Amino acid sequence: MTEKILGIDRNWIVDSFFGLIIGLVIVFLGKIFSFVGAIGIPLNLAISLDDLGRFLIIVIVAPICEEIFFRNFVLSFFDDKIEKNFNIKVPFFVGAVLTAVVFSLFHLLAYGGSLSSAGGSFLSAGLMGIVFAYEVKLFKSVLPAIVTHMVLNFSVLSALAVIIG
Amino acid sequence: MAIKIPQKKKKTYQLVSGIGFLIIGLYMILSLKDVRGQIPLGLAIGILLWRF
Repeated sequence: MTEKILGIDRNWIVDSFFGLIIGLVIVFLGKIFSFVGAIGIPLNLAISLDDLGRFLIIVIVAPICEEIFFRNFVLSFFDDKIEKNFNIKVPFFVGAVLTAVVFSLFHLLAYGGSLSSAGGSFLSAGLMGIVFAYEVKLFKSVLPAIVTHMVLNFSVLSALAVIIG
Repeated sequence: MAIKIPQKKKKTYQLVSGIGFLIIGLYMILSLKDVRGQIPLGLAIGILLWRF
């Protein structure tokens, strides 16, 4: 049995670099496929986007707390706790999909209105949730997923800033 | 395969994500006047209660 640790214990520069590259690839793919890339962000379009605090919350705080919660606690619940407590072996893909559904539901319920206006949808947020889960599995750390999430939120925020002005 | 959170860091992660969701919830309710901010706020309270 392989044991995976979901921490920020590894080389943070290498992890951040890979997270950045994956994020940029997803942003590029988002230009081709409309259902790739955008995740909902807490934003009211009626309010201008020139506030530094808003940038910090959307690009820094939200990715860090969301990734730590969903990719640490929820993913480990589906992957480890169910197996340990109920003796049911859940394949990683199932755990990743269930986590992505919870992640997507949270975005739809909490940031609902801004989700559709920011180009995101239940499907795109869920797809990104699966990508983040596999990033965590591959790098054994949540840091690449945090950086990728930051890149995606920044791309959505900057695109909206250009549109709204 | 079993995914495991390092026990030493579990409380730190709970604190970080709890405070993060608290900031988002308060920002949505107070700044954006969006009542849906109660969802991250409730999540934050849940995580922080779990932490302490």
